[in-house]
Amino acid sequence: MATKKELTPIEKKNLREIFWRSGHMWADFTMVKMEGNTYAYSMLPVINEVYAGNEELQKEAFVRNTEFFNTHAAAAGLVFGISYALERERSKDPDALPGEFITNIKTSLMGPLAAIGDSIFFNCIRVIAAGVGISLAEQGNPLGVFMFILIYGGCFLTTKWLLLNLGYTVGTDAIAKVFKSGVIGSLSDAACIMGLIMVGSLVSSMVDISTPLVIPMGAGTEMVVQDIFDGIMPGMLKLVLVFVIIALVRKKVKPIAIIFGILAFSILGAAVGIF
Amino acid sequence: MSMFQTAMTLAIANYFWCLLDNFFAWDATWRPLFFGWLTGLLLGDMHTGLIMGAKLEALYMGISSIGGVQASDACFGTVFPVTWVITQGANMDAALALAVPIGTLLDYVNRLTSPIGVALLGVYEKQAAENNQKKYTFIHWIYMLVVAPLPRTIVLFLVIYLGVGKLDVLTGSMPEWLLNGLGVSSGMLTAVGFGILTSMIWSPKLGVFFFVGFAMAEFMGLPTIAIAIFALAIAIFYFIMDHKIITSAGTKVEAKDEEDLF
Repeated sequence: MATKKELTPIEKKNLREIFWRSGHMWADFTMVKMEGNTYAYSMLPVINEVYAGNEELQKEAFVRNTEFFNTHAAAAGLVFGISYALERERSKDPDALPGEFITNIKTSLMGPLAAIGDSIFFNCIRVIAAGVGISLAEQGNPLGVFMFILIYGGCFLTTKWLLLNLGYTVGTDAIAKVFKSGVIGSLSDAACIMGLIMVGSLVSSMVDISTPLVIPMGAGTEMVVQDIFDGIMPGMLKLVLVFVIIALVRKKVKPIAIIFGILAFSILGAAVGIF
Repeated sequence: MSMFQTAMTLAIANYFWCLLDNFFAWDATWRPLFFGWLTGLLLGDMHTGLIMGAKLEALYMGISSIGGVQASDACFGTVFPVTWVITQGANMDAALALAVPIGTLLDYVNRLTSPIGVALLGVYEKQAAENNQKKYTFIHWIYMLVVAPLPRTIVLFLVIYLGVGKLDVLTGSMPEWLLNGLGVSSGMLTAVGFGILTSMIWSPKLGVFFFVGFAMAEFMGLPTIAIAIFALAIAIFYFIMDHKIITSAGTKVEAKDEEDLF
């Protein structure tokens, strides 16, 4: 960002306003407009500033910003930043930059941002935060909860603030370039790697499955089934269980059905002595 | 604490954690880890709350984010089981096993109340069309402070006040084999969340990293925080390498210019 321009106090104030107001994203979420209600609420300071004294343009922008909007709540910062910059442009020459253009930019960014936001936050940062949080909370340490909120919530708020400023300052062309350059793909892969490593380690530490089964071999010797599994590979049963579940999920079996399946399986198993 | 007081305490807490979520739009506090800890703290047994919260966090890790549609409400699914165990002395394994089904059942509260927001859309639109900013803001805040959290809070209060004490099944005499089975299931249920999560991020190209993580914990016995640091390092390294390959393949001209400098 070589051309970082100085923000005026008013711009700084508005960016802060958008940041806090857009936190209400889920508050009046509806199935029809999704986050649209809050989008307009967040843009009110901007609408008042850039279209000051022009009631008609204010109305137009107000109504336009209540339209359907839905993306990841942190990644949304980028869209807010861009749409602030565009509203400012439009106020200078409303005919050159029609309102639909702003809506189109918003709409075109929603999809990719939701995808990247979900994959980085749900599949990566949350898994890392939960891994750290769970391992502490399991021992009865309340620090686990705070670490989780600090890592996950902290990353969320920081990302949103940075993207909001970025969106406002760099402009749409630069953003489009980034989306085309393939950086997003690399970033998403990197997030997946972190997520996969953490899930792998959590499977080892959190999943608990073993069998007390003993098969008499005659002549006083007996075969301990768990030893055989451990001989092949420690924790083998955990991996088998997880990959059975993955296979079921891929076959579109509902999670609730899997949960009841496991309940039935373990109760039956315990009754006949497998577990 | 009487059942009424318990229900009241948790209902008030529920109102505030609803607001917390509505103010920040993060889900850092809308998680079993947080609910478990706070419910435990309020009912005077933080330890139990933390342990159950940790187990449920693992279980809910995948369940709550399948394509944006939640299959089970993490809040209800955590608060009720923890309350059962702490106030009624219910069997923890039994309560954990029932957590997700309860969350699924009570998720209907969310579905039943979602038409309210849709019905009010016209009111929002009217204020916007008239540029009536104060009224729009007022409606927005009323929705956030009253309309959105209230139904959930009432349901939570009623279920705890009327329901928690009545589930003798959880506290009463359970046959040995059933208790054993539920005990076994709680160790296996955590695999569900991980399974769903893995199936979402799995790709043939990167799948091997799942086993890297598994091996670090299972064979090397590394603590989670150490694994997190390694994971971060590997991811950064991958990003830099992958990014270099893309830029060198995509923009050869620039690469040449750089070479000329040296």
